[in-house]
Amino acid sequence: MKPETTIEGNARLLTYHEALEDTALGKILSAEDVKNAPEGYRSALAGMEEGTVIVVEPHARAKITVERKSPPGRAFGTFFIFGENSHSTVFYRTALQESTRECRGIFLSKLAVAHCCFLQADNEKALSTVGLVARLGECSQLKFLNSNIGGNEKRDAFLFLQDRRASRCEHFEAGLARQGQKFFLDSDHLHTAPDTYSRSVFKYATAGNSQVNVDGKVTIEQAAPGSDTHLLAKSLLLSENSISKVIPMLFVRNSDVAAGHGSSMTPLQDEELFYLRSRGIGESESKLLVLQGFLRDLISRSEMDAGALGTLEAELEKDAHSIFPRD
Amino acid sequence: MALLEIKNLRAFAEDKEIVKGLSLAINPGEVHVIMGQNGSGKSTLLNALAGHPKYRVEGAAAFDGKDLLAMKPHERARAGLFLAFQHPNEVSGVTLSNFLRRAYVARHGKEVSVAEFEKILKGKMRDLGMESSFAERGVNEGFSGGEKKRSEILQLAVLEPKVAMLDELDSGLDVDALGKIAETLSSIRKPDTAVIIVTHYARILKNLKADRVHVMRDGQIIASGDGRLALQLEEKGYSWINAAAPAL
Amino acid sequence: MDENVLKEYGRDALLRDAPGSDSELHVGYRAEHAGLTLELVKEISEVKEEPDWMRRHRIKSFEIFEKKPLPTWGPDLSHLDFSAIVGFVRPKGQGYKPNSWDEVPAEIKNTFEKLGIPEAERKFLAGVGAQYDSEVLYKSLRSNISDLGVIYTDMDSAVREHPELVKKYFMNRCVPATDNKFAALHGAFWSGGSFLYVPAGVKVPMPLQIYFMMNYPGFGQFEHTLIIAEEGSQVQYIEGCSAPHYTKDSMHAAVVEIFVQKGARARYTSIQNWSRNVYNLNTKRAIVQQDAVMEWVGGTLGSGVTMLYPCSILVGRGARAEHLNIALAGEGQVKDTGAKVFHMASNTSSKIVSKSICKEGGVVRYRGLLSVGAHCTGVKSNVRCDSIIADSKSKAETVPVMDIRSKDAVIGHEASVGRISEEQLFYLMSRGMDADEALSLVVRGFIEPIVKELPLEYAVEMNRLIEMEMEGSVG
Repeated sequence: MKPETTIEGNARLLTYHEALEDTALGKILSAEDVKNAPEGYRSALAGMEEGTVIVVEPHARAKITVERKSPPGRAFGTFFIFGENSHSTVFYRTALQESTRECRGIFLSKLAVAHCCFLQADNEKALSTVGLVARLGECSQLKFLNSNIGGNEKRDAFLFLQDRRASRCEHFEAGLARQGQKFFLDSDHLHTAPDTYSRSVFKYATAGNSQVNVDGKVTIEQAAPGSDTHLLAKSLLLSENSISKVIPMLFVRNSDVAAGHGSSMTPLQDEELFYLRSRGIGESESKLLVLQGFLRDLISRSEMDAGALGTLEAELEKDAHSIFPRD
Repeated sequence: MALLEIKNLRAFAEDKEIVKGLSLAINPGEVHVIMGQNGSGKSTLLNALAGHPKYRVEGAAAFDGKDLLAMKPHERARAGLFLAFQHPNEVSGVTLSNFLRRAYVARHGKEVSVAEFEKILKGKMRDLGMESSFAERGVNEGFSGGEKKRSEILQLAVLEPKVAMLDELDSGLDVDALGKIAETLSSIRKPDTAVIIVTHYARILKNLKADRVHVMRDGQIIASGDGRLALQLEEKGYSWINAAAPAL
Repeated sequence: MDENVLKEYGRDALLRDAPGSDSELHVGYRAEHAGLTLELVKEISEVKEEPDWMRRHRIKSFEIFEKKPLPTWGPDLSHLDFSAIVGFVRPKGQGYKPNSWDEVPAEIKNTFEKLGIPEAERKFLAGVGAQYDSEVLYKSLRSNISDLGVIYTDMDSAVREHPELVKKYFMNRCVPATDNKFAALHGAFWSGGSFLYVPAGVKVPMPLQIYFMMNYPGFGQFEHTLIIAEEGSQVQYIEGCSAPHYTKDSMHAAVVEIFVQKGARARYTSIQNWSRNVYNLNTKRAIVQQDAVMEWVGGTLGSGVTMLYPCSILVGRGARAEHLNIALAGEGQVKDTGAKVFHMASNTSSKIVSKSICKEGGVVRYRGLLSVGAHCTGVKSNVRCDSIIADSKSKAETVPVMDIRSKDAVIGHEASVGRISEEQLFYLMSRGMDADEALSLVVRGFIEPIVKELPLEYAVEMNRLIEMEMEGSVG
């Protein structure tokens, strides 16, 4: 079953097989590095029952919305190909009821700019795996905001290939793990070309007996002088029995770089809560506000399309309320 | 003889020409102010004179009769050229006092004991109204913007250069701090030294008399005058001077 | 040994390295241990005239050693030849010394020269001469501290003279032979090292150094250091030095076990600059009780390959650990170092500062594990790891694992990698310092947080050595 797609601007929708038949598109989709792709991507691709490809024409402006309410099968794929010098915003939301494997591709041609907001608000019983490969062309810019709301167990494995000069990649993750949820995020930024830039910011709050594992890896190869990278992973610990495992990894093979990472894990801070309460706000609501602030800060920092962010915020809000009901 | 004589200076950052043929003569005892909007090349000019490796320089510059451009950055500093940076670097793990003592030794070409230097340093800090604990912090480490500027001024006071170049030192400072800087500059100002101040605003001139004021645009000096020029600029804004001195 | 392997096993192996754990991996097992036999183990015990319990401990360790596989993560250890060390494992544990000064490599001699090491010390450091004369100093020191009730002797003597104490603490709770393959090897073949016991309430007034041992046979390869700081005591211990040490021993598997009891304070400083033929694979661990403090200060400068992750297990409420480390890797060197801290009680805190420098193809890797157990409240931890990578032949990597299972924890971690910035150097040069002086100042500043914790002579030597190494390495 095809996803519901709304396209404004010069872009078209194809099936994966149709896209493969086109020489240019086929070349992008079947590129060799796909073998470096995370396991989640490869296995979903192998068992893919349906694949949707959205192609934005060169020099075009496009606004794309994709919604999946029921999966076309156990394994499916969703790919975005942005033509040279195009400018696009994408909002992709899934609200699936069952366990699935998905492979996602984001391919930016030279000078393309794409802002992608992905939201997974799946059913509580769903165990899903998403493998994503993004390839950034020369001087392209990708802003990618990903958020997991629903689902029981979610495994995300992302690979960002910055193998062309001067590409810019900003990757934001905002998530709230509630009772019984498990999120495993494996993110890999690979810099193999000069003057590439990447910023990753991961913010997760863990409540109930949830578990969040974040492996954030950044690799700067010898062939990538002038790289400028930073990764930040922040966890907000909301409960006694949640588990937060964060491993930011940095592998640097060139001296002409500015590379760093930071990580912090903190509970709700007494000073912040007290400040709110001293203004008459109830205990639960104070916690709610701090939690919302934690996530919103990342969302607004991403400076993405207001419409998409609005939806994302509303979903997160609902979730947060379930943890801290108004008192 | 001019203390600093610049002839047709061009400065390039990679392939981009930022200072496009600038000539200036600074005589002993003078205070010159260089104003201009962002991107006019004022900072680049000072950095290029100090020998920043980022800039490729053409033209000629003589410092105290010697070929400045042939000297390495540390040689220029030892000869008495001082640059107070707009965004001073942090050098963590090195105390300001240790750093300054070495710079002092380099400048005066003779050794000074730790105890002796401490006396000198404390004296200068007192004059500037700075707490002595300031000296034991890492160079600019965790300093606020204002503290960084004071660190630069302290260095200026300790090293007593022949030509002091100040890169927007006054931006972001309050009236008192500004006054202190002007005081320091007045005190180091001797008949045989000179000061070049790069600034956006004319405020500092309320405390310090300028001999010459120059306005830069697009890598060149488009107007020169005395202190009144600065006041006019402040009153009428840059658009006035841009109109009065159209593209050369 | 690539990142993929690291990814699969690196973190988990570290996590499995918790006390009492037993690794089940059977990958990459080397079978040739020709010459390393049970007979040799028994012979060693006999020559040392050890009590039965120690003999049995060695035998049991040897059995574990045979079964355990090499770690499948970390630097490449495939060239490690266990059989080759047989000839070096002498009953008296003296290690394999060069026969004469002529055998000592030129590069080591040059470094001695540049650092201005006194003649008398050079031969000792090179393993050629006997302990340089410190008899008078040693005797007076010994009587001072024994008056306080401090027991400070070599490990072999301790087994004979203080069996109850040794038996209570030796390789059971802290670093058992089951911990990893090298601990097991150590358990079977250990020899030499120091035993330090500080009674309750005693504050040892000066740092104790390994040189103070009269009977010290030289830098052994399987030294065992056991330090017990009873309640409320304070002690500082230093081993090694920045000057290069030369040995023909190609593998070191020392073990350091430290027990810091309630309210006590212990600092273990270790500076190592082994020659490049050495694989340095030590296990160092401390168990820290209520309100006690453990400090690890280290400089890892030499050896071909070093794997070193000092570990602090904070079992008592309010316990604290500080790990400060400098690692330097030049051509052909791999420094795989880090810190492991297990927060297993409330109100515990830890601080880790790691500074690494790699140049000319060297590899520095920081591998950390920060674990906060469930139900621990008021836990604070801060990690700072910075690396200078001087050129593009070298590699700098950081792999910190944070596993937090409590909500009342405040954890911060920051890392940066880059070369020495041109801007910084220019700033210093603009104040009259020439390029070399500017570089030396920046490098000193970089390692300052660790060097300032070293006693003066060590600090001076460390600074000089690192400066020497960094000379001309900035293009």
